Amino acid sequence: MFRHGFTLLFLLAAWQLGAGFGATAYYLSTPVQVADRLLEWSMSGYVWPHLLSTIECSLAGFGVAAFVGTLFALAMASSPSFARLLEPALFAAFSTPKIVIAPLLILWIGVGTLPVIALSALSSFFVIFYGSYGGLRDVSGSYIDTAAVLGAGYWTTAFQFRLPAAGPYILASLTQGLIYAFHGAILGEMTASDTGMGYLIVYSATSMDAASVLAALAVIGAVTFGLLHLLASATRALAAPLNAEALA
Amino acid sequence: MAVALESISVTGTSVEISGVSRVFRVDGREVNALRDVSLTVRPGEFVSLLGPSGCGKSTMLRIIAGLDRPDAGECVVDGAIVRAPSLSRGVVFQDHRLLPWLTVRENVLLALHKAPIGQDGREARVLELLDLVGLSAFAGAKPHQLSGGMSQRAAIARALAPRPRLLLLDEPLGALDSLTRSRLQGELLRLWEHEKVTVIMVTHDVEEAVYLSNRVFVMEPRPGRVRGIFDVSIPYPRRRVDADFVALRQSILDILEREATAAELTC
Amino acid sequence: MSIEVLSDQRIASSGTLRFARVAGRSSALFSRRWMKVWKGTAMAALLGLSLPAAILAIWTIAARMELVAPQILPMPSLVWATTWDLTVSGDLPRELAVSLARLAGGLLIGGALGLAFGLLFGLSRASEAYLGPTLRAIFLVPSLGWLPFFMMIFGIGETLKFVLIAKTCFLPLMVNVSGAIQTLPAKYHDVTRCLELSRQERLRYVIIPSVIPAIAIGLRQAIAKGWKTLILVEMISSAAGIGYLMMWGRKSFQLDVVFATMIVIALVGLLFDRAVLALQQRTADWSLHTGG
Repeated sequence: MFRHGFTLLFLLAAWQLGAGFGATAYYLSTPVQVADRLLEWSMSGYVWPHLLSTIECSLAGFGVAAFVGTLFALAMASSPSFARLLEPALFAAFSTPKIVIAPLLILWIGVGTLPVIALSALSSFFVIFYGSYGGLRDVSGSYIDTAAVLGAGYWTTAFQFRLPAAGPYILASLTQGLIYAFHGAILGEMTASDTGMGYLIVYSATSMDAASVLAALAVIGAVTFGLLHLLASATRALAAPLNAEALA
Repeated sequence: MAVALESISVTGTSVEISGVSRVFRVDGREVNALRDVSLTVRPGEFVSLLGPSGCGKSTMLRIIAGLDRPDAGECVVDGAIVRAPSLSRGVVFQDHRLLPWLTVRENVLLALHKAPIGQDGREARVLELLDLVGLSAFAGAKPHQLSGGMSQRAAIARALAPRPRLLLLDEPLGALDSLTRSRLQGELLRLWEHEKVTVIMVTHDVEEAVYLSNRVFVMEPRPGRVRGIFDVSIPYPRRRVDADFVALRQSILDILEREATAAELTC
Repeated sequence: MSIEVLSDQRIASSGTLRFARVAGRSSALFSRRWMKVWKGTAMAALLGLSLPAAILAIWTIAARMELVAPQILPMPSLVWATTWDLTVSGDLPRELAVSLARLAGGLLIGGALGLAFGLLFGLSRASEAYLGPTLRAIFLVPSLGWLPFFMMIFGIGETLKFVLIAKTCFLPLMVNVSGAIQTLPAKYHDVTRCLELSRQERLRYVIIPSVIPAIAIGLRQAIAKGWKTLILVEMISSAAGIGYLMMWGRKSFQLDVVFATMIVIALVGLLFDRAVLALQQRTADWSLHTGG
């Protein structure tokens, strides 16, 4: 455990000591100042509404993306002609930076939570779709054959065979999607909102408040870290029985 | 194809295993993979380690190869205790384990990196071996372009390239279909004769063991140990339908059957 | 024996298409096969283009009937004309060149560092234990979050762009390369021991080749993320580049310019992705089949 934190402690100590020399303290702030700011924020409650807003927007965006993403993936995996119709356009959009839509979103739906949710959903939709589609499309033919032998129809095959068989892949893509939704929301807040952690960073930066920028970054990093760990253990718990089946 | 045992007994190596034990810890429980196993392999012999899964036969082979170390006892090859893997002991695994990014030729060549025969000598040896295993036309192919049987031929060529005195086979034909399998069994005998090596093969196929070996060590699990040794005195080439062959196969099967029943009763 | 060997080879070659093709292709068969391929490609293209075509149609109708204000939704024809004008006038190529140079510079610095650290972490458990968690934690905060902070330190000049792109390109290469080495199946370790390969030989024949597909995958992610980040930086703090051109269009309410740049950004992103994907598939022809 000490080894894992060694470099971080070393960097923090060097930073704190080094900040005493020269004028960089103005830009860089110091670890103590950042910690102080974090404490101040949590005591005064200043940061909570921002954090809450970011999380709400992320969850809303993620919800939309998860529903639409897996639905599209399932539909395309179940129907080759539907896949041929949509695949080129969706794959092309996958490699396009989603931020290009931000200026349009601002013009079309203005500033506020709506463009933030839209950007969050857009960021995470493609990750979820891409991952789930791969898993759903490559479901072992033996499951589909079994479904056919048992006389399952189109919908039964899709929902009772294909969907559960691709479970681990869908879970993995949802995990990634949630992180993307969170980062997408911050991106949206930076460009088109007046609340949230993204806005807090931009606002602090324009007032040259380095300690606040770093404090906000630390909060974002901690939430991402926590999310990743939470999702990893949730995925393990959920996917353990699925993995044994699907990967056998 | 006729192989006279006397003619090959000169150059191969001898193996002396005495009191070898190996314990694994699985989920906090101790599993006796091998307990106090002793056996001797004579120079030039073809022997099989036969038994159900979990009897420690693969662990035994890994110890002889030097890939694993025993907890007690020792394994002596040609008078020297085995401490690490060596090119003088060629190993073929059940999965071919060819490096997928190298061609068949490069894979075999890699095993010759220590051979003191010069670049030309190495190339010549690779060609000789690929010819021997019937892969000359596929020297430039990558492993994924080969069938299972061909991959295993390439793996055998790689193991034989540095002229090892001992060839260790860990269920080399276990993953192949039965037609390819019986064809490769014939080829193993031919290679054994041609390269004049001592061969130790791990298998769970009774017929394969009887068809190929001079002697069969039958092993049993929990703890892994040698249950019986069978001399196969039937002359090569053997026919699987001969009375001797069938009788020997049956008596080995009977032992394994009794073992399995006993194991079920104790479980 | 030789007959047996031959038949084994034939079984194998019919299983692997490449050999079958070399062995038995007559010219008539050849051309007919290609006709089929062409037809298939044409059909696929037609189907694939139908969705974009439908969107274009709806867009045209909506703009022509002025269902949406023209300030918000320009006519497709106007967007096309603007794209053409910007290209001919040299504005678009100039800004695009600025952006591409920034991406290349950042990718070179960040990618090389990521590769180096990936190799280090893959080969030395201790270095991963000491440095890994801290580096990963720092990089867990998305690039766009660091942007304001970097702006305070580096100003809004070229340094800012290079640092941010480098930071973005670092992680994909580091993660993929170290992961590829760490998950290299143990079975190859047995092989290197049996073949008595030295450390250098192991590096040269086993580790480096096994890492090349991972480098290609990392490169693909790095370019995609780097391009994304660069556009964002240019939108927020720049006086040149394709992202700046887009922002300029928005601020001066020239939506045709916004659309034109959007299309170019998307096309460039797509082009990069396809190119690196092709590279990825070339480097990993073996890994597609071996699963490890």
